[in-house]
Amino acid sequence: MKKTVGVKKKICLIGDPAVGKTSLIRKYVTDVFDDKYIGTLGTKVTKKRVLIEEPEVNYDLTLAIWDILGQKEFQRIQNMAYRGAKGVFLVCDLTRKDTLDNLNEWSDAIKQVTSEIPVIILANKCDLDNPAFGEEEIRVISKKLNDAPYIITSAKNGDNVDDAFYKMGEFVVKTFDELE
Amino acid sequence: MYGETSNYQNGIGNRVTVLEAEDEIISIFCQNNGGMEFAMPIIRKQFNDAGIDFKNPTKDELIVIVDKLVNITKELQGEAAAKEEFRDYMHIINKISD
Repeated sequence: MKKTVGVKKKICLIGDPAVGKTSLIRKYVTDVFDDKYIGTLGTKVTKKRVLIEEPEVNYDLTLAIWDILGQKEFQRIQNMAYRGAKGVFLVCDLTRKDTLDNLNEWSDAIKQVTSEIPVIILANKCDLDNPAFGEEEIRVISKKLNDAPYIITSAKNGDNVDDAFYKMGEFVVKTFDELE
Repeated sequence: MYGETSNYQNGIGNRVTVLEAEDEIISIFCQNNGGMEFAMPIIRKQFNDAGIDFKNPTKDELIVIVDKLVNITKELQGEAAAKEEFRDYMHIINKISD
């Protein structure tokens, strides 16, 4: 029988305002989407347990998911929130090209505070009909970010949301600290 | 409320915007009061209770928040810590460009 190891990790979602960070978390954790946009006030932490199955061992992973406000003026709050993160989602909005271009800046900001940690790009809002860019442009940014994987998501209808968090879970358990 | 001679040295430069001041004040409160995970819900409640827009406060509204935060620090950590925190906050607020 495979051993199950308890692990807890902090991950962050960062990106410009209104790209869907909070909605992605809500969809993943509570399977709820709300069309009404209410910006994040500061930071908010949500926890979710997920079982990551590896060939040798299973990980009972508790993800502390940090939702961090996207306004650039709140740089000190953001820098404080990045500390201790073991993985980061860089989130952009498929209908606004500038949100993709700005991922470089968000990546630089987190690099100043954390060590090298796994990064996954989430191109969100694929449910909308008017995309401003496609996979080719995402690949260009991905290349600049050390070939960070990207996933196209919709917080509204749930496309690839569970998969994205599971993928992040797989990345972060590779440097695990067992729970006491 | 308290005196206004601050020992606060690190951080921001000469003149700041209201949002930069808010960013700084919130960071200090979190550092002094158990970290972000514990302190941020407290801060959010103060803004919500006062009906102040977190993303667009005025200087006067920030002073209202400061007053509330200092009272919380006083409850959590006592008068001396609250006094020091208040001086730091007012030092930052006094740097806001009019």
